[in-house]
Amino acid sequence: MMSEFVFCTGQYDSGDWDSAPVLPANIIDSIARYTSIAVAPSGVNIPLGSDAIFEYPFVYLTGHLPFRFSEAERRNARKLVDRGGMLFIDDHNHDVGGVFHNTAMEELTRSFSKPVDLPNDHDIYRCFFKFDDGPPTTSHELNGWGDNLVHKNLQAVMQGERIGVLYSSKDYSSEWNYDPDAKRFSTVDNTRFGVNIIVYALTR
Amino acid sequence: MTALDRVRRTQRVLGATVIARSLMWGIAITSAMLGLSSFVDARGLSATIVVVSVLAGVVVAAAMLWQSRRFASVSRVALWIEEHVPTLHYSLVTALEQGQSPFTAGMDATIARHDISATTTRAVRRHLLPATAVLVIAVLLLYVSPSGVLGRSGAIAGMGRLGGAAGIPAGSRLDDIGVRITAPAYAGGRTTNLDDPSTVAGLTGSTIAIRGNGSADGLTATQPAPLRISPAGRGWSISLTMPAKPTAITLRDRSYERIIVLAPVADEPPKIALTSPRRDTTLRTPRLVVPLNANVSDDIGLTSGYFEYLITTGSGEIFKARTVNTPVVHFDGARSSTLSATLDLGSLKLGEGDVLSMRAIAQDGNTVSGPGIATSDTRTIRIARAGEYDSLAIEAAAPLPLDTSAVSQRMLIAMTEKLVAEQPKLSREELVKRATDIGNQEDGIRRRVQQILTEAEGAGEDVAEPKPGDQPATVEEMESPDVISGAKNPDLKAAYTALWQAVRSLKIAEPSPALPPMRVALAALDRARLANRLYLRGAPPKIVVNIERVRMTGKDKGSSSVRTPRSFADSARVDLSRRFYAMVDLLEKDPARALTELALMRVQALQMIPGFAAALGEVSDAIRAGRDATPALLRARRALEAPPEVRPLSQWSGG
Amino acid sequence: MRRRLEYVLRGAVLATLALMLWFASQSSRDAQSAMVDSHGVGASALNQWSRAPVAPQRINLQLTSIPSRIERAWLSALAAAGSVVTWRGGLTPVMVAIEPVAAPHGGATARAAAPDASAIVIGDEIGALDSARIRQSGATFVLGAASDSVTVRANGSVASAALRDSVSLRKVLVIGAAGWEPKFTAAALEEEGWKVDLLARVAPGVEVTSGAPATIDTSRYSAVIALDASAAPYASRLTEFVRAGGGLIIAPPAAAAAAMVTLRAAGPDAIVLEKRGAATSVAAKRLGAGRVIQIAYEDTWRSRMNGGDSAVANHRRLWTNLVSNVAYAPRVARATANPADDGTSVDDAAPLADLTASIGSPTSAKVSALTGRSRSSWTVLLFLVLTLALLGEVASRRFRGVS
Repeated sequence: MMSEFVFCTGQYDSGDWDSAPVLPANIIDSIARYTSIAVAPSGVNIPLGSDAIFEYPFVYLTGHLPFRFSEAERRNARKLVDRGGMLFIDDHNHDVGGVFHNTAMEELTRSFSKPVDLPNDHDIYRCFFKFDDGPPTTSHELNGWGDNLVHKNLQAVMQGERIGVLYSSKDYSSEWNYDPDAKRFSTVDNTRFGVNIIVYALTR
Repeated sequence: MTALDRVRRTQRVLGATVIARSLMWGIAITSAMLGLSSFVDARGLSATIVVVSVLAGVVVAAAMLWQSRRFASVSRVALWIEEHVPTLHYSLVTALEQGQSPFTAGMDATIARHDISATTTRAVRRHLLPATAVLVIAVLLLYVSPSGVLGRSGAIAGMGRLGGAAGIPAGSRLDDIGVRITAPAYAGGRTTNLDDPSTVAGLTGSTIAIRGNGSADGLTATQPAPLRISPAGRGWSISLTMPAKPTAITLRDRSYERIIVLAPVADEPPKIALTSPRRDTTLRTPRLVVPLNANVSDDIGLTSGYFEYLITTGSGEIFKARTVNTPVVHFDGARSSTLSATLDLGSLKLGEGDVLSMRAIAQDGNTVSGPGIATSDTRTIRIARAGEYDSLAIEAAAPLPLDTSAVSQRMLIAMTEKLVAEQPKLSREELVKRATDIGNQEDGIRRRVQQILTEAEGAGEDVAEPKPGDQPATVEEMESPDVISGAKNPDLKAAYTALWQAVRSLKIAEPSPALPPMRVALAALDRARLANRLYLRGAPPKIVVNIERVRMTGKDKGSSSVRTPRSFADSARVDLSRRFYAMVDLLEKDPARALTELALMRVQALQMIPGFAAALGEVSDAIRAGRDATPALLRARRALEAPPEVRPLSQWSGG
Repeated sequence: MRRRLEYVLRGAVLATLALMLWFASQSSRDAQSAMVDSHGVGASALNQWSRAPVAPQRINLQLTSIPSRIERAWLSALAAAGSVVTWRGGLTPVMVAIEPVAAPHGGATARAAAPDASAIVIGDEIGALDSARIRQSGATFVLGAASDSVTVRANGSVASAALRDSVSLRKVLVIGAAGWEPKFTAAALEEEGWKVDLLARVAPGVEVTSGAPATIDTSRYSAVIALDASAAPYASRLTEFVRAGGGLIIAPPAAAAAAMVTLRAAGPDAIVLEKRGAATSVAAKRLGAGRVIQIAYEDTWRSRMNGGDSAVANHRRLWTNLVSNVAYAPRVARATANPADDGTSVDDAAPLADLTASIGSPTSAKVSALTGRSRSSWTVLLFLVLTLALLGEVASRRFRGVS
């Protein structure tokens, strides 16, 4: 039997990598709800600097604190992306130009190349569910902290025609960090874009 | 006319002849040497060659004059006449010697009957004609030579030309070119000269001057944009800057073509490694003096460096950050150096929960594409919150000055070693007290490890997390290693066993036997930490999704989509391979085209397959030098393609 | 005494002349034997035999290397003209065949046959490519792109073959449920230059495709890769496709599907291509005009992600080799290579077999009594004897004062 998709959260040394511990279960739940993709019932946390990371071609990274790779983490991140894997990095802060964002941009530029704005009609917004306006806005962006900051685009480091690193400042980590059983209380499932990200990673 | 008059007249004629002959020979030698030199080295006559040629002419002329010096003497001239007019029977010599003799008139009359002039004339012809012929030939040689001394671009421009347009030699002006590469000023401005190269390698931004012979008229150079060709003395020159990417300059002179490959060498950014502190750490209170050290190196030269401290303050979702930099250190172009600083944490006014990230930054002096910047790994110091005091981070601390607020296994080992060293001087009571203190702290680590192990086995709720106010366990209360399962984490199990033994020894005030198991425990904890980095500040909750229950229960439906195919990854290599074999076919049919194709392939290969590009350069050099290019071709092919895959013969013949 | 010596020398001169006259008469006779030295028959000997007023009745050759194609043809012509040509010699048989690889990057497969344990060197127009020691009578060499012709040398025997065809390739269809294996399999093939149609099932009725997956037939696809049970609904169509000449690769989850049973490479007609220990890891079979390969490898993507520096290249090569081995790839003639200027044609695939076909199998017939020497060298020797004897007599007479 073909191996199933395992949601992997990457551990990195410089910050609070585990700031959204419930997110993996929520996304796994959504994958099972909407697709027939074989998926493992729980996620794993794997150090980005260890060779075990290559068992998981999709890696989720988040945090609030400075985002910097060690030499081993940088090497592994590059190798993972070069070989066809994908990193999804989400700034768990809701701010503009905060410490996670600034250090992550610098680190991604150093490790790969400068991330560019992903056009809002990119393939990732229609590979399963349709998001005609680009990345869905999070409740934090609309209500959060009184500043109504909305990040219009996601950023990406491209590997040829495909996304190698997907970077988000929209704080999906806060948006999706809840027990999946709570979905029954919502009229609109706000994790559907997470399904798109996984379908994109598995098919592009 | 007396005999003396005749002799003197003959002397004058012969003297002039000798002088003329010597001069002619001297000039002929000089002209011949100049003409022959310019044929050998068409770049023009250097001052040395001119001086040597003139000196040779002078020496020859002087030697001939010296050889004929006898004509300075009247009596020698008389003897010469006697020798060439034997019928005089020495009357001339006698007449000269016996000038006052009464027989002088008679001798003069006898002498007058002989035609001395005719003899002299014949002698003049005999000496001057060969010299004249040689002189004419030498001057003609000089005239037709590429030296340009006569006739072509020299002073006697109107004396006729021997075919061809003015100033353009019959051969290619693209042979024997010289290239001068001057590195950018920031890299020292060193100059390298190359003779007739097919490839010019140099730092990006270097100034390149290409020089050749002959007039610049009619020459073109493209890169592929046209390049300006200027006259330079007796030749031509092109000046350009080494680009960032490999390219080829195509030179054309009528039907001649030549390609020169430009192979830029990139200025690498510096390399920097933070050597102190070696690891991240967590402190209870922000009281520590941290020595910082980094090694820096660069391929060309470093300009400056500093340390950056990034302090993040906050909790939950709200964080603020501030950056503090140390004063900039200037390296003045050194290729390697060290950065050092000392950080007193107290000066940063850190509070509970703050995170300090430290790194070193250096830059080089690249003024062409902008300074290359290097950053080191980041080291992090966390200030623990009050609620985290009981969660001991089981990490080996960096070798810093002792701080009793950061208790770790390594610290406990250091404390125990100190106790062992001081043991002979201590009283029994003091020994027991200190050993028990260390033992209690060691027991705290033991209980933490026990909790992780039992949690991993799914029995976490039975083991309470150790808290500061807890009474330390007695030796009897400690769970034996035999009842703790370590199937899922053998390293932690080994650590637990060693910690158990260490605590037992410490609690009975025997610190020396406790040291070996404490060291074993430290090694096992390190292994466990690296194998599966344990986050001990509260394990994240684990939610297992019931896949079968939720499968396809979502109300929304997705839709099909189309994926963009990936592109052929090695298309450039396959193209190079095809071109390589086509070039091999051309080698015998059209070597000039093959050389052109070699140069163009080199440009393409320099960025993709440097080994293949280098081998192509060897092929080009071998062909230009007229050597056998087969070994170089074999090396090029091996660099381009892997050796054939060899398998046994099979019944199955697919593909 | 001296006089006697002069008589002896004069006698030697006369005897030598007589012997040379006799040799000259012998050369016009019917029987003639020739010994060939180790460098082959030689154009001069062939020329001489061909130009002789009377064709030699018998030519016995002692060969230490296989004559070139032209030399063999010449000998064949001499035999057809009436001369009996026989040969003997311990020649090493060698043979080579070259055909294009069915892959977008091109290349060729050269199969060489030679006696066991012989060392062979394979090369092309540039030089030696590789060498190998033969086991089980032959070896297969997979060569890079654009080798137009190859030569194989073994113990002095040389065989050569030119690549006369190229292949016409269609697309590859990959069928599987959305996951790492279909993604990386399609990626590996595309990165190797294949045109790939992907059919990845995401949810019932929802698929991710690339290209335009169409009717599965040999006008559109060279091969199909069935990665899991998603391919089961297409089983009957795949069977028709393979029977018509198409290629199919089946991974373990697809092979487990009941609908795929007729396509499995199992049973007595399956050929084991690779074993890992006692287990078969790759097996193949022919089905109609097409071919099926069944692999036991699951999750080949792990080797791409986890492996060393050449892991990605190895993963690509694995899949492209599998597809090449089954692909429907009709041959297309390419422009033939010109024969080499030295008179040896590029195509000389089995020179010893060709020699045997031209002038028969080797015999035990011995060469002439002038063992070890050719007639021309005897002539030279006799001439030297004649000259020395003549000079000796003349010198002796001079020393005696006799003119």
